[in-house]
Amino acid sequence: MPLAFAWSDFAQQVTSGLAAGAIYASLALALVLIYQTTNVVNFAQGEMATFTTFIAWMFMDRGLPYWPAFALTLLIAFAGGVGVERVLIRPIEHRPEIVIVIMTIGLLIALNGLTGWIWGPEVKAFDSPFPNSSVIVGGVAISVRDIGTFCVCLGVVVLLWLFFRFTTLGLAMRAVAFNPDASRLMGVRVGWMLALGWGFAAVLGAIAGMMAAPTIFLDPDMMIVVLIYAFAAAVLGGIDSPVGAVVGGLLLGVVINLLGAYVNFVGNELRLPTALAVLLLVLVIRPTGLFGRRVVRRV
Amino acid sequence: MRQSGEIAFAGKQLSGAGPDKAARSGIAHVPEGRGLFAELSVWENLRMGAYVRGERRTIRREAPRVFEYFPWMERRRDQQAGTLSGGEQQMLALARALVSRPRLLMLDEPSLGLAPTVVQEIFRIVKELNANDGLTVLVVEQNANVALEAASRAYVLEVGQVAIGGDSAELRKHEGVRKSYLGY
Repeated sequence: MPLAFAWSDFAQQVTSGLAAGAIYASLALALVLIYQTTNVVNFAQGEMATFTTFIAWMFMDRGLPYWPAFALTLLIAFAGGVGVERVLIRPIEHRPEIVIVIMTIGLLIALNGLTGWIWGPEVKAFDSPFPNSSVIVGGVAISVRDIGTFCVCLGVVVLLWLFFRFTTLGLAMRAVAFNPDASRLMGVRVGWMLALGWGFAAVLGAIAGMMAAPTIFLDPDMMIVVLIYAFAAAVLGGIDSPVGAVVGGLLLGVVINLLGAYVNFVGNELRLPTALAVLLLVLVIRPTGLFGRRVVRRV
Repeated sequence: MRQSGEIAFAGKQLSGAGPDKAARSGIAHVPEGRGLFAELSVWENLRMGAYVRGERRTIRREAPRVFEYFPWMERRRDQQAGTLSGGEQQMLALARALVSRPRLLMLDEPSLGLAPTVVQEIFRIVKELNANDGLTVLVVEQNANVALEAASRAYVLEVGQVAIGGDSAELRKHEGVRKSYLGY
């Protein structure tokens, strides 16, 4: 607890909050992508991220340099996400939503067990591609790792945005999210668009996992807490809004970090309950979140 | 439910295949209720119409032709489709179907909930498409007057069976049709 308020300290807390927030934003966006098309929250999102992060660790353990391992992991994550949708979700896609939710919970438990079984329960160190040093900007020491994490996460978010905004496939995926029946009439193979959405969600999760692991260390349960933050972020931004997920993630990262640093009783231990309190407050006061909205429609 | 029989289009079997397959074989279907993407813009809806034939190339070629029929669409291409009036939405649904250059255009209840002048306008355009471009159109319509006037052939369906069918000019003279459907 700082005795006196210092701007440099405050700015430092904000920047490290933004780095953590970028990770929450990635995972929250993954949740939103799946929610928009499949209409459920994918509870296995965190374990999918953990599993793929372990795959990255395995590559590096075998001697592959960081970035090739990173790229290879994203490819595997994409294929894995597509596979999960095709094999596990597709057979039950027309069943009530609760059936799909239970499937994602089953996947959570299965992947968690599988991760522990393959790689063991002990905590592992995970390399960061960014040095553990800091640069001084205007009297504020900013961690290079924080800058790198922020840029990687937000860079991928921007790439995804460009994809959805400017490509035919992106347009078709948005169309499917809004109106799957009409999309079929346009000749769109809706099932494959859903699978692509799961693939992208898995890629976002893998990035979140690989960016989080150097700080929180690699173990089969590492993403459970991050997923709760991401869930709170998605609800804060509006569960059906991609922009909301990103803003919600960044906002949550900064707020939680500042509360932890400046509000005595929150400290380190009460960060998670604070996130849950945000979740509850949003659901009670404004269930559509900051950016979730009803569409204007004239009949 | 037991199903029998088959659906074939241009020599290709469509029975059991999804609507996406029908769309890819050249059928454009404007469903009852229009099936627009309310959250997307006018332009994006048209682009989705072009999807089935290769979006980028097709929209560039077909958009000018569609804008000739519906000039207002070009000026309002960035408007959200859900905020259009009912008649404009029906025209957008029709335009979106035309962008795909269909071999068969199917319209399900295009007059539903629209003002008579708008209905006239829509059927005028459909007739023009048929006359100028040789487009085959299949319309399911409750408004027998409008439908019989636009169509060359017509069928009266009763509980899923074709009760009467033939040349629409003859159908208009048919006494049963006149009394039951045209109201005079």
